[in-house]
Amino acid sequence: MKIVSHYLESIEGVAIYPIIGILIFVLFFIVLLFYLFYLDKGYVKDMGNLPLDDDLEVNENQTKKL
Amino acid sequence: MEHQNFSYDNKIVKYFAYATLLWAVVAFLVGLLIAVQLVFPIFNFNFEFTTFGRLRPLHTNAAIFAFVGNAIFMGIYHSMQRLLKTRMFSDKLSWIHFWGWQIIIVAAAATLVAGITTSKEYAELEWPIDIMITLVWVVFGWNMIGTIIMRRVKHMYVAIWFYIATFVTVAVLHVVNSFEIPVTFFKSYSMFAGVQDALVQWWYGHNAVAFFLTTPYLGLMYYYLPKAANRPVYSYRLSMLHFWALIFLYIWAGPHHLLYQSLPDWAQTLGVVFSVMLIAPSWGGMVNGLLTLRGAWDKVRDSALLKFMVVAVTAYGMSTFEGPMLSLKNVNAISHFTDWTIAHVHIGVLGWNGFLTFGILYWLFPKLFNTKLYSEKLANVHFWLGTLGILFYAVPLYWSAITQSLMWKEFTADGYLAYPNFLETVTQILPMYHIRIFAGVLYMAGAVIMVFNLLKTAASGQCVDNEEASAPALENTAKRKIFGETGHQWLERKPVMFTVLALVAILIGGIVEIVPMILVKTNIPTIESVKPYTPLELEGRDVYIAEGCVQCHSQMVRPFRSETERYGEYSKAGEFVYDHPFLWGSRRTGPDLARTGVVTGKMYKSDSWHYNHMLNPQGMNAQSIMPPYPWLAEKDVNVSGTPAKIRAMQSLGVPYPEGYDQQAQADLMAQAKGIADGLKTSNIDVEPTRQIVALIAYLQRLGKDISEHTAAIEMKEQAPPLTYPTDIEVDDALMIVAKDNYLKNCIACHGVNGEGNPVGPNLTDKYWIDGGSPEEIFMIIANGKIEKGMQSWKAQFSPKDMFGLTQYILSLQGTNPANAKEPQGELVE
Repeated sequence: MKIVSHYLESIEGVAIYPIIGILIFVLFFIVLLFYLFYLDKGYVKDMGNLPLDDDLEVNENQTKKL
Repeated sequence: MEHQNFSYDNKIVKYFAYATLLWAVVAFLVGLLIAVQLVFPIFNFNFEFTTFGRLRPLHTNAAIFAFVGNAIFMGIYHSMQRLLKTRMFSDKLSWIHFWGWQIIIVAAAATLVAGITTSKEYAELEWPIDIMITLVWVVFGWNMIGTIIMRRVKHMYVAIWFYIATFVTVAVLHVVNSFEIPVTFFKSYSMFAGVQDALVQWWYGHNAVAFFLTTPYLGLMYYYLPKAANRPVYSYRLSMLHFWALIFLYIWAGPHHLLYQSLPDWAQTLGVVFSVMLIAPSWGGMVNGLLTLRGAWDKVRDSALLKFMVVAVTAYGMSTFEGPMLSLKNVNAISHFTDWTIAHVHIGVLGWNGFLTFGILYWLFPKLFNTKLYSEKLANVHFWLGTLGILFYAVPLYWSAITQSLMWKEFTADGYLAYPNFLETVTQILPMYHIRIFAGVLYMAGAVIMVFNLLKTAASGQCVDNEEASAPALENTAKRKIFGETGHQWLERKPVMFTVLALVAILIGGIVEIVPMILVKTNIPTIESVKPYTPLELEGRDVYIAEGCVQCHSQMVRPFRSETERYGEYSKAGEFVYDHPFLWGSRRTGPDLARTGVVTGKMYKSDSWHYNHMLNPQGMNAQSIMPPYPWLAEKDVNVSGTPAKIRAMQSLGVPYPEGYDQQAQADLMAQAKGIADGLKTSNIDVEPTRQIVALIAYLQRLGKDISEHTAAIEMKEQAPPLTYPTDIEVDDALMIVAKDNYLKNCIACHGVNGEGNPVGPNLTDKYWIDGGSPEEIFMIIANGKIEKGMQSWKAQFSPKDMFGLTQYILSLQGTNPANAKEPQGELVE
């Protein structure tokens, strides 16, 4: 779509913006993958069970509910 | 360890749930009405407050901010208290939030039907309401962060992360997109102009979808789906990956709404690349949701609420696949401005948001009221009605989108548009719109059944407004990292820090998009012939905004031959430098208007044509679906407010001469009087101060500046003069083509049988205004008679076609059709 626009060609090195952006994302993503890979198993299991815990905890101390 | 007693606030959850039900019905009802209006214009009720242009934003706002908004708050207030084992931070803030949000919705509805709008999609509300939204949003965030700080659970579950990201991102988006200069209490102008305004608006619009319709719902999915299936999420790791990748990527994709439009190349490419990358985290999330049900699919068969959730997650997967596909430039070239976009968003809102909300409601009501669902059978009926509703909605609209787009782009073997009459492409898809009405009725019926079912459920039980609970107190958490604790675990203990980092993640994308955009300002090539609007045109533009013309008419000719042939020169960034706000539009229910003011162009219509068309569109084109606007000829422009508008524009950098505000009213009246006098010669008597005069002035300005710019260039390469062809034979084939051309192009002004109408003269009598010889008729067709509203056709028709039309018109002589117009011009024997 060359006919649409050339405005930003006059800004020096404008292509650097998207390149920096993608680089930041890729680096971030790789670090995140490593982090998740080495995450403690027990911790992950506990966190996953959090939504299911809440009623149990409450119910233990609540006599009127089963 | 000390056990602490506290209570969950169920009352606020209940209120948000009732609000969700109420606004769902309202949003669906208005949606159904506007679907009916698109087939039967009579349902605009000939009433200014109920036209499509005003009701469509009401529908979108009701669906997004009223229905989905209240459902989000219902889910957050319910799940967060339980995930954090604490009551909400402050009851007072909760209730300010609830009532504040409802007041905003009512204020939005009232102002939108009154035509008080900024015209920016999903951000139509005027500045006082924008400020209210900001305040209520801060209250919501304050309450939420406060609750997180008060928690009795060490770590924040992933749902809470999604809630936090929603809060910070919507705050940033809303504030940046609402930069506007107030003119009166009900009117403001966007600080940005043209290209910048478009880029900011769609950075907002896209992320409103991302962070209002998606991230909070993912949070809800990660809480309620495990709850309903009674098993933990398939992979908690995957949900963490889903979160960070999604919020990082989403913010970049906005420019895909502006492909092939007057936007820099690199921004378009950025939008495409990030949109495609978005498939990965989105599908990770979908798979995670569906696999949570592994080993529990037998439950799905028996439980309506699980069925709702399964379809919702599937719809999420479909939408997030379709979205990136629509961002590919070659697909977008076909899909944009058609019903495809409409079908796409409805898969999202009806399927993903609607069905997940319904699933949560069916789960929540029995819990909240300590009872059983009133009728599982009715819930199943609702499920099937809703599912059929979505299918009957989406499939016909995909069909209509592709049909219409291909018709727009089709050329004849001779290289002319196959369907030069835009209306033909609308008439073709109307059967699909009938089916859409049926779909709306199905979906609506399902929702009404649900409301009945849930209210019955509520009546059969009792809501414990303050549910007693207890949990161990949270040990004093160490400020620093505990030994053996990973960075992220530490982060999850630090909600404020977490919020700041989420903000940073979304800001990176935002800044990369917006910084160069600010640089664009100095880099848009100024086109010398582009001048600020005259005061009358500015007022006309405000009428155009108030009536919501932008809902159906784009002002953006894309650089495709099919568009330049139909409308005229493609749009350039430099044309829009004084457009506060931009009005490019997103759907062409009617034709593009960017070139209506180009006198020699294909879209040109005379003042009298516009006048008659605005008052009675069906009188000009029997099949038109545009509503009539009779009040425009009765209501006056508020001339006393014009100087303030000029001053506001000056403060935004529009170069009116200094002190021009004092001159503006006189200039406005002079231009208006000129138009009114011109209309008198066509026997139209209208006060110059009427809104319709201003609107006509605005329409006649569109594209005018750029045409003057290019006229000079074209002068150099003028085609040889056109003459009446003498070497063409008159045969049946020629006459059939000519009749077809006549019916497609000429009937708007000369009637189906040549009888004439208020605009065009009778062609069947012996009276001619510009001579009745074949040569003279041929030349009038070729060159038009611009001052009377007859356009030039030589760009659309070959000389042979025009020769044929001449013969066809001559063949109408003496046919004496019904409703013939009185003779005009001189007798020619």
